[in-house]
Amino acid sequence: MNQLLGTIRSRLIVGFSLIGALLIVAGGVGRAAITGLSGEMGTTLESVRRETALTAALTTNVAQELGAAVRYLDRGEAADLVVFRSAGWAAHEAQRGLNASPGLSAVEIGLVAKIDERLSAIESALAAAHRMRDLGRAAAAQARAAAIRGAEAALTADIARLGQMRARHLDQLTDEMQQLAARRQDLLLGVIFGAIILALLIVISTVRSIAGPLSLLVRHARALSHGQLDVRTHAELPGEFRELADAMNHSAANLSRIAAVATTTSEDVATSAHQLTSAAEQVSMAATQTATAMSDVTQGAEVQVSSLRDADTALQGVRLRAHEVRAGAEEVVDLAGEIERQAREKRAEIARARALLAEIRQSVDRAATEVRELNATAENINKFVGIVSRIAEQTNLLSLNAAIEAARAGAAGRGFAVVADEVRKLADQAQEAADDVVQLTAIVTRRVGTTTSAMETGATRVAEIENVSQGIDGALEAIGASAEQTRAAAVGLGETADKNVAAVQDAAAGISSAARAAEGHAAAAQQVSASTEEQSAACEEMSGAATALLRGSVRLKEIVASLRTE
Amino acid sequence: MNPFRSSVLPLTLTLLVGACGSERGPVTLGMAGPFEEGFGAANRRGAELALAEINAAGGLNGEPLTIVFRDDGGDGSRAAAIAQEFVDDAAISAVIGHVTSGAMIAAAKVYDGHIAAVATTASSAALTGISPWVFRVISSDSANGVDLARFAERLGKRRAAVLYENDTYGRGLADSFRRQFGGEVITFDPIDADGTDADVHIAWFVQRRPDLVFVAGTERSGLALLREARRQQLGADFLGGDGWTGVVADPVLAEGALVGAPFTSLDSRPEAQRFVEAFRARFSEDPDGNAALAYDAVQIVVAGIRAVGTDRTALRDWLAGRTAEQAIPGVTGALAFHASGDPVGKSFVMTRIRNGTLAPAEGAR
Repeated sequence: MNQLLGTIRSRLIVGFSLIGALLIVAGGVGRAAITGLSGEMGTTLESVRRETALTAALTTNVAQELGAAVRYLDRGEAADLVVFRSAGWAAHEAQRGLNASPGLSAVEIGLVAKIDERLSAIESALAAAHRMRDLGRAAAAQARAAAIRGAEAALTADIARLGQMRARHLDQLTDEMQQLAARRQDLLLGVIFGAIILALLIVISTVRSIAGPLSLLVRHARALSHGQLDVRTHAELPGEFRELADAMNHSAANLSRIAAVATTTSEDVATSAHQLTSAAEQVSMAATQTATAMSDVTQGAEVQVSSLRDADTALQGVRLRAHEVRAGAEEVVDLAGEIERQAREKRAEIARARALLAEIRQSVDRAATEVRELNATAENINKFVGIVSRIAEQTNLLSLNAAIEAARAGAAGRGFAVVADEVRKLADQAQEAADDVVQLTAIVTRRVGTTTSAMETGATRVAEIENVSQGIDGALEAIGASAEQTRAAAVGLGETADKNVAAVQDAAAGISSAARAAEGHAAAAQQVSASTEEQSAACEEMSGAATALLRGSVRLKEIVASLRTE
Repeated sequence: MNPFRSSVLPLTLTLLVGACGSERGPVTLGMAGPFEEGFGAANRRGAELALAEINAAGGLNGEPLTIVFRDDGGDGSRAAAIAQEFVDDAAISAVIGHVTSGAMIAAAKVYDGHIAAVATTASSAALTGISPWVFRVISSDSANGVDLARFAERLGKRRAAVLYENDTYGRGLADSFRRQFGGEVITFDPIDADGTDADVHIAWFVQRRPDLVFVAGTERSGLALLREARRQQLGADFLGGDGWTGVVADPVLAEGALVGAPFTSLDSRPEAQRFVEAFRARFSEDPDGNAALAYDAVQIVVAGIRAVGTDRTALRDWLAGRTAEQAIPGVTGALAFHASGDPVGKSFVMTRIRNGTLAPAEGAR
C-alpha cells in the first residue's frame, strides 16, 4: 500500500481510479437500481394488472354464467346453456390463472380455491337443474336452483373478499415499492456520498502530500540560496519530492565539499604566498648581504695581499732569532745538570743524620715508659698503706670496746683488759709504720715526676730536629727535579727553535701563494656582486606576484567563509 | 360404503412422530391427500407399504424413515395450508403428493422454491411446468385424455356423453378427451364428487342414447353413476380415467366398466408382481394405480435421499436430474421426469373390469 501510494502520481492515479470506479459503481448501481426498480415495478404492475384482469374476468364470468343458468331454467334456450358453459369455463380459467399468478398469498390462493370449489358445486347443481328442466321436471329444477342460492351468496361474498384482499395487497405492494425505491435511493446516495468523501480524502491527502513536502523543499532551497549548505531534508516524502529532496541534499553536500576544498586551497595558497614573500625577502636580503660581503671580500683580499707581503719580511727576522735561542738553550742544559748533582749529594748526608735521630728518639721513649711504670708502683704502695692504716684504726676501736667490756665485767674481765690494752698498743704501732711509708712514697713519687718531665722535653727536641732535617731533604729533592726540568726544557727549546726555522720557511712560501689567491678572490667577488644585484631584482618581482596571490586567496577565503557548510 | 376408512391412522399420532424429526435423526417426509376417499386411502397404503419395506430393510443410512400424513380432503385451501406447514417444518425433507390435481395446483405455489413435492395421482394438465419444485409420477391428463379418446374411437364409439367432476382433474381430463374425441360429444356436464345428481344425468342419457358415457371423475361419483345406470338400464358403455380405478371396490356395479389405469395388478413384469404380492400380503387386496404410484413416489424420493441426503435443494436438484437416461426403476415403469416435472414415457393401460379386477381390455395397446 505504501509502495502503491508512494508517489503523488500513483496517489492521484489510485485516487482517481477509485473515484472513477466508485462513480462507475454508483452509475452502475443507480442504473441497476432504476432498471431493477422499473423492472420490478413493471413485473409487479404486470402481475397486478393480470391479477386484476383475472379477478375481473372471474367476477364477470361468474355473473354471466349464473345469469345464463337462470335464464336457461326460465326459457330453455340452448344459447343460454352455451353461455353458461363457456362463461363457466372462462371463470375456471380465470381462477386457474389467478392460482398460477405469482403475487398471491397462501390465504388468497386458499380463497381462490374456495371460490372455485363453491363455483364448481353451484355449476354441478345448476347443470343437474338444467337436465331436470330438459326432462320436464321444471319445478324440481327451480327447487334445485333455489337450494343453491345460499351457496351463490357465499360465492359472491368470497369474490368480493378476494377483491378486497387484492386491493389490500395492492396497497401493500405500493408500500413495498416505495420502500424499495427509497432503499435504492439510499443506496445510491450512500455510494455517491462515499465517492464524494473519498474524493475529498484524496484531494486533502494529495494537497497535504504536495503542500507539506513543497514547503519543506522551499525552505531548503531558500536556505541553499542563503549559502546554508549544511541544510538537509530527510522527512518522509512522496516519491517525486523524495527524489527532489535527495537531489537537493546531494547538491548541497557537493557544494559543501567544493566549499571545503576551496577553503583549504585558499589557505594553502595564502600560506604559500606568505612563504614565497618571506623567501623572496630572505633571498633579497641574502643577496644584499652577499653583495656587501663580496665588496668586503674584495677589499679584504687587497689588504690581505699587502699583509702577506709584510708577514714574509717579518718571518726572515724570526728565522734569525730562532738560531740565537738554540744556542742559549744548550747553556741552560749544562747548568741544570750541575745543580742536580749537588742536590743529590746533600740529600745523602741528611739521610744519615735522620737515622741517628731516630735511634735517640727510641731510647728516650723507652726511659719514659719505665718512669711511668715506677710512678704507678708508688701509687700502689700508697693504696696498700691506706689499707693498713684503716686496719690499725679498727683494731684500736676494737681494743677500746674490749677494755670497756672488761671493766664492766669487773674482776672477771681484768685479764681480758690486759690483752685489750696490748692490742691497742699494737694498733698504734701499725698506724705509725703506715704513716712512715706514706711519707717515703710521697718523696719517691715527686722524684719520678721530675724525671718524667725532663724526658718528655728531650723527646720533643729530637722530634723538632727530625722535622728540620726532613724539610731540608724535601727542598733538595725539589731542586733536583727543577734542574732536571730546566734541562729538559732547554733541550725542547733547541728542538723547537729548529722547527720554527722550518715553519717560517714554509709560512713564507704559503704567504706568497695566499697573496696570489687573494688577488683571484677579489676579482671573483666583484663578479658575484654583479649577479647578486640581478637576483635581487628578480626577487622583488617574485615578491610582488606573491602579494597579488595572497590578496586573491584572502578574497576566496572571505567568499567561502560566507557559506555555512557542514 | 367405504372399506378403507377403518384403516386410516389417527392423524395426531403421525404428527407427534413427525415432530421428532431433525437433520441427523429420522428422515421425515410429508404426504398429503384426501385419505378419506378410496383413492386417497389407496395412495396412503402404497406409501405405507414403501415405508414399511424401507424401515424393515434398516431405514435410510441407519435412521428410520417417517412419513407425516396430512389430510387435505382434496381441497385447495386446505392443501395450501398443509403445504405451508410442510415448508415451515424443517424436519421434512420432501413431500409425497398431493393426490388430487386441485390440491396439488394450490399447494405447488407454496412449495415453489422451498421443498420438492412428488405428486402421485394429480394428473391435471395445469400441473405441467407449474413449478421447478413440483414433480409427478402420473402422466398428464392432457395425454391421458388423448389416450382415452383414441381408445374410445378404437372401440367404435361415435356418440359420447361427457360428465366430469367439477374440479381441476375432472375438467382437465374431460376437456382433453373432448378435444381429441373424433365422434359427437352430446353433452359436457359437471357433477359433484358424491354423484348427487347421477339419477338426473342418467335419465337424460336414457333419453339421448349416447353409445359411451365418459366420466372424468373418481370412484364415489362413479359408483353413483354406475348404480343409476344399472337401475335405469342405460345401455351405454362407461369409460373412466385413472380416477375410476377405485370403482372395482364394487365389483358387481363395476363389472364391464372401461378404465384407463396407470397400473394394473395383472402387470406381468416381475417388479410389478413383487409389489402386488407384497401389497396383497399386507392389505389383503390388490393394489391399484393409486397405490402403485404412491409407492413409486416414495421410492424415487428415498432414492434421492440415499444419493444426496436430506437437504431440500440438493434433493430437488437430484430429482430434476432424473432424465430418461438417469431413470430409476419403479413398479409403474421406469421413473424419470421431463423438465416440466411430468413423467417420461408413462401412459395408461386400458382395462375392462372383470370380476373386480382391472383386466387389460380388448383394443388396448
